[in-house]
Amino acid sequence: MKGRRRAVHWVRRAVQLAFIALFVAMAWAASYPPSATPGENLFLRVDPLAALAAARWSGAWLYLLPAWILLGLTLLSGRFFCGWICPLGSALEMTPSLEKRRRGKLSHLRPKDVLGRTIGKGSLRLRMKYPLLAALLILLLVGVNALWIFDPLVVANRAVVFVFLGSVPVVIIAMFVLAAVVGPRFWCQEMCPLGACLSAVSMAGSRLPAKASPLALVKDHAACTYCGRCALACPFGIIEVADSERTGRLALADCALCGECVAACPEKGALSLRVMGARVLASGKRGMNRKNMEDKSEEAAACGI
Amino acid sequence: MRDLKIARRDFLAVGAAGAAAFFAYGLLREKAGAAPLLRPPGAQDPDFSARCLRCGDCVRACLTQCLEPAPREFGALELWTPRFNPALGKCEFELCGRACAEACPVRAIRRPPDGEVRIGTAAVNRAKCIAWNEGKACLVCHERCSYGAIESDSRGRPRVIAEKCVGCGACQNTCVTCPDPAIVVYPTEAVPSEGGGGRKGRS
Repeated sequence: MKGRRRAVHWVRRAVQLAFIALFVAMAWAASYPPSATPGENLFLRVDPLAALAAARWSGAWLYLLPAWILLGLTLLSGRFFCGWICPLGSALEMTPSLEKRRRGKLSHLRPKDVLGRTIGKGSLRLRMKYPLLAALLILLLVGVNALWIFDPLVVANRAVVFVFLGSVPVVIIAMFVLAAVVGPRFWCQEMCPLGACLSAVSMAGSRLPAKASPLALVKDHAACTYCGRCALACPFGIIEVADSERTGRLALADCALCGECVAACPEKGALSLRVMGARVLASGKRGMNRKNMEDKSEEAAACGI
Repeated sequence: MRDLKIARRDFLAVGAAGAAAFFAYGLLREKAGAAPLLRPPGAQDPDFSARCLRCGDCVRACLTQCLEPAPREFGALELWTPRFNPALGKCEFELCGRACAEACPVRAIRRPPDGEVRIGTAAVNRAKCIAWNEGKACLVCHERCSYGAIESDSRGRPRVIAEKCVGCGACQNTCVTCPDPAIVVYPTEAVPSEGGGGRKGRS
């Protein structure tokens, strides 16, 4: 976890902070007069759910262009938006976590459902975010916009406006408490309807070959020793083995392409982050080695890989 | 693992209960009745709060900063929707280029032509008005009205001509009995009568 591989962590932090700053700056710039550029609420227009609401009430489909672009990129690359851009997700990820201390133990590596029950490999994950998304879409169809409670970009935008007005953004504070107690990306993986929307699109696109993706995480099955360090490093806590052997792409619909697993992986070339098919970051120094594999087999069994 | 399981479950239960309590409280408050809820121009239709994203961009964009996120007093269903509060400023919808509608990312605030904008209608509370109540020639609301919607009789007592009033809030904003103005803008469907046909003021 040194040098270039570790750099992905800091590069991503820098990108995340830059997008948080951009988000706040845009909310600040949204004061009178309305600028000539269409940039003011760009974050809200990039949000496919908000865009859907806009289409529902104004029929302005072209207005949704930024959202269509995001959906297209998500189809090709997965939830990169959540890992690199979403200001709320980034801020939650950087929240000092009470759970992180407990995550040091392998017993916590198995994926859990919303009630905290351990889920076996291959079983269906119970995610609140999908029913929530379905409910929001049905409400939207009926004519009620309930996005204001759950949409992360709306919540974040309102929080910034509230701070500018000098009042306290209660909802976002509750989210930070949630992040500190049950894990930094709990919101993103379990509740976020925007995340659910992007996950669904990403799932649809997960059969596409890695070469077609602007940004892809690729796993070399032959090099993997099943040590489970990727699962430990994953801020989203989603790594099992659910990758597609057919395309070679790590086809986790929930993967936000943050690259933390690549940085953590000790095996040479087992995981790599690719931009337009070109490898920009590859894991590990260690070549595959029987002894290591045996050492790690117990850990691997524990983490369900 | 065990403690994590319990913490997560409890946290969700407490969160759900808290949210339920919050909304129940809000609904109760709504029934208790509140000040009139005025909307920015183009948001007068009753299903506006179903469309609104509550993102706060219109509040941010307003030229005169006369909008605020509606607080709890207006009920859970209206929470954080934009409220036009004339105490904060006059609505300058003919000057600002409809900054609020422009800022709305879901186009929930519409853009009716200037002539069709009707935010609300002002009404004078004669018990509070110093012209009606104390016989003083005040005329402030009369002079501030850009729409000629306030007429004053020979003794300077104001009366609102409802057909001309658009509800911009200039009169309420400058009324000298501030902070409890004698002339208040109400939603068009909830205007109280000014009473008495304006024959004469008491005392």
